[in-house]
Amino acid sequence: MEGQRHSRKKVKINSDRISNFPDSMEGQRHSRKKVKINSDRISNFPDSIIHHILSLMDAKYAVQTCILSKKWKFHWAHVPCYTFDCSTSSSDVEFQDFVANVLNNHQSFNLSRPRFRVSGITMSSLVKMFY
Amino acid sequence: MSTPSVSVNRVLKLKSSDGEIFEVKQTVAVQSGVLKQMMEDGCTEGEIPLNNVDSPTLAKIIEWCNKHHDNDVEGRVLSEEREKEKEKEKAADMKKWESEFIDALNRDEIYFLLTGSNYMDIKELLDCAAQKVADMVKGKTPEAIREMFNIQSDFTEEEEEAIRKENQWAFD
Repeated sequence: MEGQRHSRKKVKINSDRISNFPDSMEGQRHSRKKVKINSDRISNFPDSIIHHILSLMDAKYAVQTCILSKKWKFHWAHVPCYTFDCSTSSSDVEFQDFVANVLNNHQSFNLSRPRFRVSGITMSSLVKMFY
Repeated sequence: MSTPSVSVNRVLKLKSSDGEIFEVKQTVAVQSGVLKQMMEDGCTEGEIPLNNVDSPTLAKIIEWCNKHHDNDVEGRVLSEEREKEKEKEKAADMKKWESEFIDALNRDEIYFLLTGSNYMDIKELLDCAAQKVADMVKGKTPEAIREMFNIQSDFTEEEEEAIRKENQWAFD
């Protein structure tokens, strides 16, 4: 454990381009045993990793993580790319409402074009929904 | 993506956070954006300290990179058609290998692999590990997710209710 702490200090002193992790990485470099005691690791991921993970699931599940804890309240709004799947909504109107809410509330500065996974409705009806 | 001038026979000496040295061919190490940049800058002499990656994680990362490197270089003397077929087979085999590789890891190992691949900038591995976590999260109730990752809710009941109401459109 001592060695680990020591090496963390060293990183700060000899900071190079591969050590430029966000603050949230701090405190993660405990020995594995120590981490086991307090093992909410996912919340301590760098924000960029959390946002990446959330972008890999349907936006509905991503938004629902807002309720996990205070740290998670706004992660969903910073996802760089959303995937929308209309099968997770019970009607077209509900789906439209959901997509509009996500896109109106997102905080990401560089939002990529959302991915739509559409099943059961045609592209033209999807376009009609939004325009 | 430009490839830096790497020598097939040259190796890099990577030093894990717990002091273990791993020798990796330059042609394999190039999959790490950070090591690739260091090679381009010509600063890979001696041991390269990877202070955020411990030895079991680095061993896994190198296993991944070796596998993906082998996949790139083997079998180039086939006819074009046969080669296309072979490419498809190889892609399918690789997908299978990747899912077996990631499924064999426990939650702790996935955690360290995610942070390690992020640190070393190995995009494919980061994507694969992040997808695994995304698959673990999606479709689960907040309670189940909290339990799975030991997340302590610091909301009061009233606060939780308020957030649910505020984001009702996502919980319908």
